[in-house]
Amino acid sequence: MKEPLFCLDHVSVAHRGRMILRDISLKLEAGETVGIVGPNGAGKSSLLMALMGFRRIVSGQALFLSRDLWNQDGRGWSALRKKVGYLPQQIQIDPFFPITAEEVILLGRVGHVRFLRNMRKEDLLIAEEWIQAFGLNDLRKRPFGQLSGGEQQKVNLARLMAQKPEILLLDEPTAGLDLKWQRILGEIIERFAGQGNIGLVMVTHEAHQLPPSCQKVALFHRGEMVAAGRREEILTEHLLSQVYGCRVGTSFWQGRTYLFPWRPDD
Amino acid sequence: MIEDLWLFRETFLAAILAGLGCSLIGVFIFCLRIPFVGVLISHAAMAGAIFAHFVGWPELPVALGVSLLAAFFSGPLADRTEIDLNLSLSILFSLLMGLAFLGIGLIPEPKSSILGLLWGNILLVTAKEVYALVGATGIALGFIAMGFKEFKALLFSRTIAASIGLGEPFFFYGLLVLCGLVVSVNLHSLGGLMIYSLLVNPAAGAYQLSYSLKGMMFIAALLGIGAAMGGFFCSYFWSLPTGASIVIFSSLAFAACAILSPKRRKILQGGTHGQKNLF
Repeated sequence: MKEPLFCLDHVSVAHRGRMILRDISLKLEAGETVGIVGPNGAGKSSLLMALMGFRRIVSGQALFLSRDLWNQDGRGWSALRKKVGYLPQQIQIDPFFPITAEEVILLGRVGHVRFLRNMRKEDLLIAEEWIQAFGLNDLRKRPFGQLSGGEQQKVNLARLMAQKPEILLLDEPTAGLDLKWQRILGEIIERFAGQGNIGLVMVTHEAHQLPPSCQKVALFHRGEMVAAGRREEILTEHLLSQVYGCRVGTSFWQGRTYLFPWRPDD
Repeated sequence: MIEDLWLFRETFLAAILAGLGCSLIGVFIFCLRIPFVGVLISHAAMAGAIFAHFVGWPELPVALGVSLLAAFFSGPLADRTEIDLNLSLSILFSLLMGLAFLGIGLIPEPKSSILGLLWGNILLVTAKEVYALVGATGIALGFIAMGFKEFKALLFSRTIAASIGLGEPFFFYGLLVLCGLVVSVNLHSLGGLMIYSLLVNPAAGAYQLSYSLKGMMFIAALLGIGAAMGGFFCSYFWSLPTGASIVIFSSLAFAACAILSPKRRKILQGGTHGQKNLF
């Protein structure tokens, strides 16, 4: 039997002396997708940060890519992070910052090239492969900061894939984007979520952003995992209304779940 | 006149090395949006040198030590507390400024030599100081060249640099250490109050003109060397204070870049996504 990509068992996480996640138990198998859903401040992003070592696990057992997260030193974290494609919430970048889209994609390879060494031909070829796969040829020489929000996220996803990750951790990848870009990026994520053995953890406010292949959902609220299980068991009006503090309606369409707040007169 | 200039060969070299070293480090400080690091480290070096002068120790090693201490304290202070980096730097800066002026006040002797640490005097630079400048600039250039791809990731985003598996603290603190080194060796020639302009103005000017990091470094180096040389010649021909002339030259260089900036023109034409300013 294959080992899970990560296995959290009653994990609690602290940051700056404050407990931000309590008693989280969650598992992800290779090729599986899990959606993390919940209101603002629920601790969704903190979970990804804890897996990346940016937040401190203070209790429980945490295995990530066969490594015990309790025993990682700086080198251990570096080695682990090279296998993880982490997309934080949108990075603010100056429109004139001196870096092109192509250079951003190449950053995905930097962790794989040793200090003092130049990029190898192999690294350039991998980056090129993803530039072509994502259809970024026209944008490659443009300053990254001058791309639209959707284009920037597309470049960021290409960077993650160039990293050749075993697992993708995406933190609200389509937040703040218009409907066209939500669809484009959604399709890209769906393509890779269902591909090979890559595991995907996707944090989102909007449940309809989760790819149809995502059957597992964890619902977070105030630093706790309220429920986890199959999508249709978790994204229910009853549970969501409790967590969001208002009456929430759900609708299923084309394999996706849409959430919307009920108005008093609805 | 050539013979006169030959007498100033050390000054000449010091100006070139100061312009080169400060402007290259300045590019990284500017792109990381932590210009206060430059202010803090230059004032830490100045406070260290004044303290060394007060107790009769050699100035350069103490200035270097205190600036490195400031560099090492400022980063973790911001990382481990709720305080914003620029805010924590400005608090440390005001403390160091207070200590520096306390030291000046306590020194009983005539204060002309100590005031040189505030304003600098590139005309009195010695051969030994030029060797130190060559060493520090060489180390800075070497480290930047060796870790260029890692530095590029760091400048793009510290979070991204860490998430792709780089030892991000090593490169971030390495950069602060390089800044401390370059500032300390230039302290005597440029002065603690003046050196900041050579760290920021050439980088800010280059930012107006270039869309690539390498291009920005090249232009910043040219502007830094140009400002240092221009300031030196102005002070030589018109008997002006050298440090102040260099600062004014670097500011003029920045103004020229801002006027010629294709990026600024793009903003004026409304060509970017809501970007209002470049400075």
